[in-house]
Order: sequence, then C-alpha cells, then structure tokens
Amino acid sequence: MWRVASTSNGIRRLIISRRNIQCQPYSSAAARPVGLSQTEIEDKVAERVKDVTAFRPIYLDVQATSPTDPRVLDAMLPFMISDFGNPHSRTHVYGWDTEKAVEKARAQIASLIGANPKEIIFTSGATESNNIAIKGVAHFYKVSGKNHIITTQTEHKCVLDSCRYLENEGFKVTYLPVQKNGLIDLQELEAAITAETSLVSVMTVNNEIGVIQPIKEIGELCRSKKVYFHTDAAQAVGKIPLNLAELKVDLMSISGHKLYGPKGVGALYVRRRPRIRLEAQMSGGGQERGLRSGTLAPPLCVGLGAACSIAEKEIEMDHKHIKALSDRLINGIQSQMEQVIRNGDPERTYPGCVNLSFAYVEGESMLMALKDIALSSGSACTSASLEPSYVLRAIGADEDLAHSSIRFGIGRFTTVQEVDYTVKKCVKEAKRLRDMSPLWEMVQEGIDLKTIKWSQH
Amino acid sequence: MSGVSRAAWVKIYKDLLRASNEFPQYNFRLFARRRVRDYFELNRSVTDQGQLAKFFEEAKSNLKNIQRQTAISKSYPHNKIIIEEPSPAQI
Repeated sequence: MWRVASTSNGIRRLIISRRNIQCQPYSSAAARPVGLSQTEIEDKVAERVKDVTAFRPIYLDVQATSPTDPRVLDAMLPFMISDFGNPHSRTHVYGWDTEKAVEKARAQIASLIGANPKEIIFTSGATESNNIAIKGVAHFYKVSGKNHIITTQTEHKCVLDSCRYLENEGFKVTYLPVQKNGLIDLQELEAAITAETSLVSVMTVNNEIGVIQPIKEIGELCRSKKVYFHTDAAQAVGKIPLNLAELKVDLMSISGHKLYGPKGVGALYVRRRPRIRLEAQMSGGGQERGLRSGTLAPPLCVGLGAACSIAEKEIEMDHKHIKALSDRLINGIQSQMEQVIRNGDPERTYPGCVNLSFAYVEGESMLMALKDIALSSGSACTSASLEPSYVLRAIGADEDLAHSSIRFGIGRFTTVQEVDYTVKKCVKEAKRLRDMSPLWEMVQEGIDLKTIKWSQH
Repeated sequence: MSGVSRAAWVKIYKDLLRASNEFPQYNFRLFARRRVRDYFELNRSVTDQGQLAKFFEEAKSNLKNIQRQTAISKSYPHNKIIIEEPSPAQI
C-alpha cells in the first residue's frame, strides 16, 4: 500500500516561517500593488530582504587584513587534516614531516627578503615580532650602558606602546617628527643619535598613508654610527622589493595576514652577520634559537611560506595591477571633484594604500554613506575612538582634513569594476554631503573659513 | 620533437580558465582568470623546452589546486558581493 503523500517536515517549517514574517511593506493601502494577495506580497518582500542582507560590501581595506589566497589555503590544509605532528618531535615521522615543511617555509620566507633561513624566527604576528625586537634589544644592551631608543611618530601602535613600556622602565625614547610628506628627515635622525643609542626603529611602509621611508639610507647611517636598525615591514614585504643582502637592516618584522597569508603568524628576521643579540620575551623550551619558545604551528608557518613564495613570483604582476588601479581611483576621484587631497608623498608611496581627505565632508558620515564599500578612516587599531588618526596629525594635516580622511586599500584581488564603482559612489556621496554642508556653501561664496570667529555657546 | 604540443597548451589554458570560473567568490574568480592570463603572457616568448616542460607541470598542478579550492569554496556558505557579475558556470 502506498502511503498518502504528506508535506515533509522541512517544507512544513518553511511554509510556517514564511507565513510568520512580520512585515508592513506598504505604509498606506494606496501604495499596495493591486492584484497581489497578502502572502504574495510577503513572499516578495522576504525575497528582497534576504537579497539585501545577503550582499557583502566591496573589500577595499587591504591594509587592515588581506583575503587568504586560495593557493595558500591549499598548502595549509594537509597540516590541519592528516599531517598533524609537532615539528619539534624528533622520534617519529609525524614530527619529521612537519619539521621538513616548516623548514621549507622558513626557506621560502628567507628567499623573498634575501636572507638566510637561519635568520628567520616564526612568531605570532608582526606585533609580537616588534615587541621582541624592541624590548629584546633594549634589555640586552642596557647592561653595556645603552639606554636610548629612537623611533618615529608615525609608527604602528605596537611599536609606540613598546617604547612607552620601556620609558616606564627608565629608558630614554626619542619620537622623531615626520615632514609634511610623511618621510623622516635624515639630518634630524643623525642629530638624534647619541653614544647611548642602541636601536632605531622606522617602519618601511606606513599602514595609514602608505609612504615608503628611505630604509637604505637609514640603514647606512645606523651602520656607520654602530646603532642597530629595526624596521616594521609588515605592509612592505611581498609588495615592494626588499633585499636584505643590500639593505643594512638588523631586524625586520613580517606579518602573515598582510601578505595574503593566514592570520596569527608572522616572522622576525634577526641578522647573523654582523650578529645582533636579543633577550627572549617568551621563556620555554628554547625553540627558534632560544629567541621564541613555543610549539610552531605547521599550518600557519606553511601558509606564511606559501604566501611568501607566491609573492616572490608575482610581485611584478601585482605591482603593475595595483598601480594601474590606484591611478584609476585617484584620477577618477580628483578629476570629478575638487579639494580632494592625497595624504603622504605622491611618489614615494606604495600605490595600494591611498589615503584621501575630502575637504568639507565629515569622514564618519562619508564612511556610512559608502556602506557598500568596506573602507576605513585611520588604522583598524585606532578606529574605535573618534579621534583623528595620530599619523595624520603627525604629518601636519589640518584637524578638519584629518577628520575627513578615508583610506582605500587596493590589493591583488581588487578588480577594475570595484574601483570604478568606488569612484562613482565616492563622487556621488561626497557631492551630496557637500551640498548639505553650510561650510561648503560659505567656501563657494568665497569666504575664507580661517578668518571666521566661531562663537561659543 | 619532444615537448608539449601547441594543442596541449591551448587545452590546459582553457581548462585553467574553465576551472577558475567555478569559484563562488567574485574576487577569487576574476583573480584566477587574470593570473592565468598574466602567467601565459609573461612566458610567451620562452623557447627552452626544459623550462616549458617545467611550466607545463606547474600548470597541471595549478589546475588540480584550483579544482580542489573551488570544491572547498562551494562546500561552505557564501555571500555575493554587491557588484557581482554572474559566473558563467552559475547561469
């Protein structure tokens, strides 16, 4: 006997959930389309609601983090499935296989930056690498009387915070100012170096305005004065050519997730010739030459290695693509709108980091208007507060321009259509916001805003 | 002469592009297509047979790679991006 057909449980639940959608799609009976029953209207609305919430914005925030390249994921997965051994186990094949893979990853990282594999130690990210570099060097050389550190005002928060921690311990720290274009002045750096300086820390590519500091010249200067040089190259590795055989850099921090690799891994380059000594910040079994104890994570290390080897092969192709998109974005916006200022030096910047200030437009309202595009104003670590970013303040941007700055991050996966959409949206929204702004009206009439005495109430 | 025939190169190129179209993610799909084209453009004038054979092996392993990754990407939930063009494989 055949069973009588009945609605299955799943379909019954779907019908009930559709019927239960509480929606008032039309405010008045007059606006309701004729000829459609209530359930049909609810179905249409449900479909549209589902579609709108299902669409994700365009990702233009590559400086915050980058999507993991599928090729990197492919290299990582075997180590999360069946090759699960501890790379420090010396007695069985699980350990030997993972150790071989980790050493291969180390060689891939070293080959990208022109170093020796023995000079690379894996860490949990560029923040940890910066901490080890700065605190490790400072503590090690304090014994010999060197207690002065030099850094810049535009460094990443982890570097500035490490320096503040050292200041609390009694070290002297000089925070060098930067010029209007974001680059440091080499004369000022030379004047700041004393006989007690142990470390100079200057980041290679700034994460907010994208300027490339003169690392080669700073390295020469530091080597001539016998001062160690650390650079935070998290945003630079794999994007601009770096060859540590030529650059006189003693310590370099690398971040995995800025390089289309996994999050949670980074590396620190520690030069062996001439040798630099560090005090380890993580105590334990003495892994990683005693500088960073702890079990290495084979999936993450292999992912970082794969990302570096891909970057080494494709650095030129990426650069060509990103430069073309960056020029398209900047020219597109600046040709259709006036008073859009690019923060940072126009030549010595990495093209993938475009920081534009839209004058007379408030930054947060611009970001909210551009809700189909994932952007940021200021770096991810400082965007929780409403203060304008300290980097823009350090380059001397006006308060109102600093508040209205937006950072566009263009990466390997960004497409031409995304950039064109961004240009169109930005121009439209900025024009709309400017039309609403009384300051813009006053500027159009020719009033100089700096001469106005605003009254307080 | 030994070496990879032109027909084999054309086939692997088309296979790579067809496999790239299977990515549900808009960015990965377009990137894979662009990168395949970039690599073929870059090595357009290479004539050394040994190097060509190596490139062919790389192309084959990349094809397997793309097929694995598209299968994985399709197994997990995915949201479209706001300006997505429909993928030819999904029409």
